[in-house]
Amino acid sequence: MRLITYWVGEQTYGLPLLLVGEFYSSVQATRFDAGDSRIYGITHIRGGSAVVLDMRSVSGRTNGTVSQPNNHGNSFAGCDMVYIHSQDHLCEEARSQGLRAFDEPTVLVVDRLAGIRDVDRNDMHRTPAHLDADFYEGVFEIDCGDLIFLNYAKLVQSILTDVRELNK
Amino acid sequence: MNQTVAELAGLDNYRNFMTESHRRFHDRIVADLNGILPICNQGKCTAADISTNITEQQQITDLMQKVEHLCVHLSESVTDLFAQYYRERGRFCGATYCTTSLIKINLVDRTLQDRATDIRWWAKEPALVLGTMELEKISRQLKTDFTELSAYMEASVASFRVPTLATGWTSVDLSQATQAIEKLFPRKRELMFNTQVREQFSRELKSLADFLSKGEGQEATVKYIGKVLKKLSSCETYILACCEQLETIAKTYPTLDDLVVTDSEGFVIANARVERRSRVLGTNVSGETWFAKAFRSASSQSHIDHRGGTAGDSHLVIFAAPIRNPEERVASGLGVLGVYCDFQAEVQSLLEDYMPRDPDGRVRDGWFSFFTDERGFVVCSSDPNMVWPGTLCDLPRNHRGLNPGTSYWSHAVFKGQESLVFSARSDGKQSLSGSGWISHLVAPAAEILQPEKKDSRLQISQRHLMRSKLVPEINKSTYLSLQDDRQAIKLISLNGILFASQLGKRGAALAPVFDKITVTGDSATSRMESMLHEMASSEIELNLHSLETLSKQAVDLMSQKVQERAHALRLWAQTADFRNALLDQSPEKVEVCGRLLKMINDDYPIYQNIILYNSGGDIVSCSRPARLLESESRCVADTSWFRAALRGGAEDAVQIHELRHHEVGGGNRPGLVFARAIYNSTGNEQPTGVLACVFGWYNESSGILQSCLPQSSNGRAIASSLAFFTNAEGEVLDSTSPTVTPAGKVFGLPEEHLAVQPGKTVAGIFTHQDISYILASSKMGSRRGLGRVSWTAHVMRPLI
Repeated sequence: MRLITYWVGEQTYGLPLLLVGEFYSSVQATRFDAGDSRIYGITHIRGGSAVVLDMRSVSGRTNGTVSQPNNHGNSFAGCDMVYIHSQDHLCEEARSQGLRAFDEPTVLVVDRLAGIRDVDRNDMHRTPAHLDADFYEGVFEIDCGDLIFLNYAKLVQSILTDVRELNK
Repeated sequence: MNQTVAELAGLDNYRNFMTESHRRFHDRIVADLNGILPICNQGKCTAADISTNITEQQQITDLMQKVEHLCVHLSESVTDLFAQYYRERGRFCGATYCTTSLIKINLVDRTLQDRATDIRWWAKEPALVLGTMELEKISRQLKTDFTELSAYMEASVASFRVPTLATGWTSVDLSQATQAIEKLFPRKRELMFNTQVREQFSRELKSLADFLSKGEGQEATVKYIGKVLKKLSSCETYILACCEQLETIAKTYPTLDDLVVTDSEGFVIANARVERRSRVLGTNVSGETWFAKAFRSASSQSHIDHRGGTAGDSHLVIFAAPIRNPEERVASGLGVLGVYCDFQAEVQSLLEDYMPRDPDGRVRDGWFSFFTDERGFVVCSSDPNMVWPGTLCDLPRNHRGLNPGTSYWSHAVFKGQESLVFSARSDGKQSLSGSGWISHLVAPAAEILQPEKKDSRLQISQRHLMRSKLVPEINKSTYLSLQDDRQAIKLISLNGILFASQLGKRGAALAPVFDKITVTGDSATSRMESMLHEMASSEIELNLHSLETLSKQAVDLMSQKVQERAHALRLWAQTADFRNALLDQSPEKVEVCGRLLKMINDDYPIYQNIILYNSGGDIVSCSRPARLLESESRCVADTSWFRAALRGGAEDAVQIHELRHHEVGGGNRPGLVFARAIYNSTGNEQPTGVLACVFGWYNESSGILQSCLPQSSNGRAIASSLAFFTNAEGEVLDSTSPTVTPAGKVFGLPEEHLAVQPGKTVAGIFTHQDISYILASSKMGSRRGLGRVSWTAHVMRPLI
């Protein structure tokens, strides 16, 4: 399996490369308050709109630390962005591997893209107890530490559930 | 700094000075980047093979075009980076080495000014004033005397028309003798000052007198001859007294080549060097510029010139001051004191200072330091065999015609070598009237522009380096732009690999293209980052070098001040009036002594007080009685400096000690005391007293420290930079920023800066109140003449 890896703080995360539509260095986004800090706002990209997810907030909420104030601002200067296809736009290869996306495209804001890495699912370990979130599927050991494998579909589902709960 | 666009343009030929490693790096990276372009073309062709979908083909083509643009951009960036690097280095070196040039001329100007003050004082020496005054009087009288003597001799010739048995001479013989004497009358000055001519004249006069005395009725003529001979003899006495005084000065100041005293018409009446005396006395120097300037000047200012010395074999600097009668308010000049100084020898060490040395300790080849006068003639140089003093300097006009307070640097071929020439002229505030000299520093262009491949002495991270105020903004922006380029290459590569992955097996052909792009891009950007690191390290090193130079300048200036004052005291201690006042402490002698002390202090206002003590440590007289507080009028017999001065022999150096508040001298701030024992003229007996000068160094130090603050390119002191002196205990003596480093307190400096060895300089990084500084410290050398003074100068400037 080929993963795109990225850093948030000192931690390396990864998600399947074939979910990705494109990488950007910075894109303007409009901020809105969805009641969940993980949803930063919305951006216009590739002729449509996409929800922007702040991966720093995602990692801050799940590793038990207090989430740092978002220092991205509206320009996301110095950050990298990962455009994730909607389910309909996943390529053949992704579908054949059984990958799942969301109904709408999203953009993940990460501190820095690390690179592309091939991993074997059989090498994946269980998620450590302190990462109390079901969207982290497991951990790979890599040369510079642990690589946490993110299940994108479960992450979106988790956010949606929390937002719905808040809106009740 | 007076930097022009032309200077910067002058370094556009930076390719001539590129180091071999930079040249190789440049060629390789440009070749690598050019090598990507065919790969991009291959990628575009592959797009048609791997997909029939127009959108997919367009996506591949877009990626390849982005890579092409990036390659071109990177290639231009590399070239710009080198141009910028060498230009910045040239600019910074220009500012740094122009400062070094300025430091040298400042030091020399201060030396000239101190020497000029000394010479003004020497010109007031009673022996010289009396000698010139009396000789002037004799000169005027001799004119009448010779006329009268002629008349007497004529009468004698007439009375000898009839030969007498007693003499056997006829009037013809007598006439021949008187004619030989009269022939010498027009050579009046030679008769007075030239021993040989005077002796010949005296012999002939005595012979005539002997002859006439045998005749009858010749008593009046014989008597008149005796009167003339006596006058000529008194000339000799005055000349000897003047010569002795000049010899004493020359003995105290060994770098002086010779001293001469002239009369009002420019005839040399005395000199210091015995071996040259017969040749020098009686010569006329009225045609010399220094004589004309000094004699015509309305004030008692000293003047300066440079030319061959009295020995005529070397190039010397000549100081001149008019000799006037101090009793007369508006006095015409009696003569001129000319001091021939072997300035080359005196400033040789200064000229060689601040220049890099080879392993044998010699100044490196191709480095020269020299001064030129306002006409462009070399005054003295670090290598007199290559840059000859007294000759016209082989430099462009812009270097020779600087205005006061300006500096200029440019690229020039000097002595057949590609060089950078840094010239500076001081603002003239410290200059002696008439010097107007310009300091030039010549360095091989390759050595200046090709930095040694070594890391900075300061271990600073890349992130900190790029935040540092020492690194030019243009470098910082290049660094940020490079980071963007690196990120852009990464994104292109990631997107390319992503695209290839999405194509499945069809995309396999694209993989090598993006691999190559990734490798080359990473290599190019990391090399450029390392280049930027090298640039930043080099800037830091240059800044350290600059601070080291400034801190060294501060101690050099202060040491020079102290040494010069010590020299002056050695001379004053030999003044007869002080000896007399100590031997016979009568009110008259003490009053004469007090007047003399006051006169010295008026000429040297840097002293708070000049005090004459007897051997028991009680005050005999002082220059500023009103400044003495009651506590300071006490006996000083128990003080260490007084005891040390009494113990020292007649030839010993002056004792220099630090004083605490109110210890002696009439001030409420600490000072330095210079003390020297006074002996009877033989010098073999016990000292009869001590002459002590209290030096208020803080009046000098503030100016010195201000001149040693690092400056920005606009010539202003850099904000938050500071300079200060500490004593051996680490206490701050004086500072440009009393709030940060208050006087009298110990400032928490790093150990290596507190324990710096005498004559050495250290530099490093230092944090104070969360501000990082670079700091350089220089300690006074353990040279003779500095006594127990062991101060350290520190110069700091903020790093971030």
